[in-house]
Amino acid sequence: MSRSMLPSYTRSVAVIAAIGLCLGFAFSNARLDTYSALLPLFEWMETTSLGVIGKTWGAVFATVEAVHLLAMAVLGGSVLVSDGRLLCLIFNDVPQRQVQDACHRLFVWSLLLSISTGVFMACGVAIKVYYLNVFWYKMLALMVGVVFVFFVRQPLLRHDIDRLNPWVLRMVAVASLMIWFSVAATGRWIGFSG
Amino acid sequence: MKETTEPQNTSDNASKDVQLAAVIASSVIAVGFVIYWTIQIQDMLEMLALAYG
Amino acid sequence: MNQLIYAFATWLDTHSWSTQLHESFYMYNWVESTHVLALMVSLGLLFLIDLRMLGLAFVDIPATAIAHRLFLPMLIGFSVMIVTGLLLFYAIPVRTSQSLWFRIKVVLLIAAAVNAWLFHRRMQDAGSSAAGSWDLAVKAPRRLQIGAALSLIFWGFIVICGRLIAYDWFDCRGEPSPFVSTITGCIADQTQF
Repeated sequence: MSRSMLPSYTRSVAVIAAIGLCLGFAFSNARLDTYSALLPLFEWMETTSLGVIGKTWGAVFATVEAVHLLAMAVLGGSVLVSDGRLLCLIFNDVPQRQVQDACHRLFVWSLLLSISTGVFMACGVAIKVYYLNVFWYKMLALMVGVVFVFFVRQPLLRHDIDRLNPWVLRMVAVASLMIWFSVAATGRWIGFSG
Repeated sequence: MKETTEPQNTSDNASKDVQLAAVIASSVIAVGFVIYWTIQIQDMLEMLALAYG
Repeated sequence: MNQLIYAFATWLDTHSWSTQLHESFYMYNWVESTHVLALMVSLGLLFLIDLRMLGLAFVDIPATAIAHRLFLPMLIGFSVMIVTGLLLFYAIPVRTSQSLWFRIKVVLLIAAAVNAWLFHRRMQDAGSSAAGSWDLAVKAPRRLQIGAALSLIFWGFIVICGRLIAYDWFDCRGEPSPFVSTITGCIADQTQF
């Protein structure tokens, strides 16, 4: 019984284990130790050529910021359409598979662009963001979002979507909207803090 | 008969697993979202109360 | 013209609500955050339409279905973006009206609006004349592709200019060159900035 049950619920067990590890990390000294250990990395980031360019040329920094915003706009659009379809709010006459595949391709490209521009921006103001709580909340939300998309959402949507429980799809869509809204909103708040 | 039902069972099990994983992950994200934004809004209200009474 | 804009901006600046909005840390930031989040909805959806017309995304889905279905949510996003954009202008009217980037942004916004109107007309023409024969094609007709490309370019620069408004390189307070001073609308002996 136990031998046959465990392999069939590998992903669920892995998700529970990951949540347990995250909670353990958050409520132990490991979090503070990691935070302290990351300071040299952020100090180094400011000394890299990306950091120097970001600090020296305001126009370059602002342009990259705008590209970051545009990439986030495309990411937002793809998330809205994809989750809107899962919630049966949009494109109900277009097969789920077509909408989800097209949205995911766009999502991956926009995510790559927003992460690469985000790294440049973080290099320019590394020490400032290191001491901002909201920056870490954003990083946490981003990591959760990426893990959620690639290890939970996509594996789910690779199955025959029409045979999946519609309530599970709705839950996934709502969670996806929540997490990407949080990524965008906390990202905007970084600009106001510090 | 056995040959046709086994892949079907494996597929059903995989589908159940991935759906259960999705429900767990989505629930945790929803709870985390509510907690984070409730704290943020409460903090803001406290700041406003401090500033304007 | 510049005198008129300055007079209007200084009049707006006399409103207590304008000052309150500007001075309120939370309210101003909430309005600006809403402006940017609405941008993610409106521009995100607009870019999906443009990329479909250029054959770069959603090629399996009929082009008119993409354009028609996303129109309403995109419009809602644009409405929120316009309202919050006007509030941001209202909060800092004099400096914003005399910002070089804001002025370029307004010109680009007008160009983007004209382009959107032309795109809409061309789409109606293409739909009726070819009876939707291009609807399932990977790329839309050439005229629509040009409109989509222009839309991406215009909005890309609008966002860049919007971001640059925050920088004070060409502000009237910094006594810019006569050329910049003219196009940003600096007024001789102006007292409010």
